[in-house]
Amino acid sequence: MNLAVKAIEASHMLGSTKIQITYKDTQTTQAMAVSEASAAADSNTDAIFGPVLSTEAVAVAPIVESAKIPTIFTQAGGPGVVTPGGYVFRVTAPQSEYQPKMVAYLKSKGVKTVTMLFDATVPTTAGIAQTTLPPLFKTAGITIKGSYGWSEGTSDFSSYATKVAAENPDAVGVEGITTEPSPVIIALRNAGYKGIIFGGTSFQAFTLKAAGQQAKGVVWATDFDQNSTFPQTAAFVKAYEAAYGGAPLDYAAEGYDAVYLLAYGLKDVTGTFSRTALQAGLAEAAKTGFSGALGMDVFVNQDLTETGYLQTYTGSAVETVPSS
Amino acid sequence: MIQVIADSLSLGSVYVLFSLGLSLSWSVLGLLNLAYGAQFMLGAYFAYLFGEHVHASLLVVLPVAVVAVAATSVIADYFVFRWLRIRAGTPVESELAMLVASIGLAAVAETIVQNATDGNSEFIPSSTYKVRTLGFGGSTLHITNIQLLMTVVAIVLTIAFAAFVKWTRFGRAMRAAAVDPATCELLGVNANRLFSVTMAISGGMAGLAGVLLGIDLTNVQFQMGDPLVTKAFAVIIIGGVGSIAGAAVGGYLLAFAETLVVVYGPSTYQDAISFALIIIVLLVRPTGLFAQRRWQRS
Repeated sequence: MNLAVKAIEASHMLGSTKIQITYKDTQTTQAMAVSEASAAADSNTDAIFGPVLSTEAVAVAPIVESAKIPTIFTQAGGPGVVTPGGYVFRVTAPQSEYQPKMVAYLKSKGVKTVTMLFDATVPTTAGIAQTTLPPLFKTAGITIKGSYGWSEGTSDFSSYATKVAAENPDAVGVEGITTEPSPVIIALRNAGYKGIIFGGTSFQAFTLKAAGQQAKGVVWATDFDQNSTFPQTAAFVKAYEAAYGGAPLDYAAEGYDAVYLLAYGLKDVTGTFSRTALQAGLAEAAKTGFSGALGMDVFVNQDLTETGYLQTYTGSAVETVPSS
Repeated sequence: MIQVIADSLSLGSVYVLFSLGLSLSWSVLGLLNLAYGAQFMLGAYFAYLFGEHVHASLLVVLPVAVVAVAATSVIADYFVFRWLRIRAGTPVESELAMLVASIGLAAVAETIVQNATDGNSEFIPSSTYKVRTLGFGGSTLHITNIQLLMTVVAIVLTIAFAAFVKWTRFGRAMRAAAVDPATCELLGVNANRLFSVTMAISGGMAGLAGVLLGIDLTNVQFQMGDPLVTKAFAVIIIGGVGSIAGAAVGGYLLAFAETLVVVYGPSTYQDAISFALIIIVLLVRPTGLFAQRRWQRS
């Protein structure tokens, strides 16, 4: 986000107007997120970048909507975040939008049966495993052999892997938070499972590194392709690497585009500045869309929409799966 | 079924390794140490630091982490818990004060590691310990070398620890201090030294568990110990506070129940099993399965 602020200032996109961001720690608790959002709404803050967890975002959304303070969420991909009042925006396409690409890939690989493993305590992961994917599998003629959830904090996945190995489906879906992909993949491979393993946005180079070669060939759908040749994406990746010395993740790209949405919204403000005027400006910017780090950002009902990309892990790096 | 038993033994060893040190500080010091999960995390974090940056093997990493965490434990006792014990008017006040202080110590340790890692997960490199899958009976049984090592260490430590507490002079002093520290002092036992050594052993065991589980779980993360603290309470309550054998039986019993739920039942109820077992044990045998009998003169 700081990178976006600097880029906006350097380009004089907003003239003399500057964006100042104050960071508040929600401590991954809903109560703290609500408290900080309420405090921001009661202050002279013009807009909020909302908390990234869906559990926090769904609690914050009605508060900011009722306080009429424009709020831009990233990451929080669960349902109920983008409320209908008009003050809430989201610069992360819900994972449900790019799961069809994942299912099409599985079908193209001849997958007939799948088993789903998921973190049952996270609405987004549970929703993908239990609500989003089943109808897509059904349409693709793929049978679900089993669907098993675990609680956040589960440390040993051996028994889940044993169960999956016994079922031996053609593919296993792993929907969890960032600490979970490697232990689950390792447990599956150690249990002798040799089929396809696919996942969601928790699959990243850094979350798969611990699994190393055991994660080779896993595939996942995401809204950000760091290998893209799209000009704004390539420029963002280059700037990010120069600033921070490493490749950006989807979180960074989404945060970058969230700041740009705010900047475009500010540009579109007409008349005297107010939160209401900013909301109108943001709505106009979302309606128009813009080129950002994620690619061409197109919004439907103030929610980013995206068909996504498929990526795979080589055992040490992330590669983009060519579109068929 | 053989694989289910192996999975249960592996998970049970995780619980036993984690619970032994916590059980010790609880029974001897009356310290319900909520910083134990953070101490465990520190063990794993030290192992990560030495493995990643010094490229040290497990034979080096393990003693370094054990000593380092034991040292932090003794320091915590010297600067925090000892003063709370001295200043408290009653044992209940002392236990409550130490409980609250342990929450603070956990927050400090976790925040330090959170900032050092930017909240990211790290992992102990394979150069420290290469995890391999061992297959037995064709493909009927799979277990990794680290799971096997943990199971052996958990069983050996349980036996050694039980023997230490039961048959050594220091062990007898620990048991006596757990019942009546004031009388122990009158009989010449240096209570402060005893408590420091107890904290060192407890911390060392947290460090050892952190290293082995850090390798097994493949994630070293600042909050990695928190979920296990809850499980350890279940293990200790099921087994009986102060009982080494109880902690072992409680750990394997809980693991077996959880594994059965995952393999044959609704997996999302895995955690509920811990608390259901606690409630059942508290209702049927409030002092736990292996409760120690205590005599007190009126």
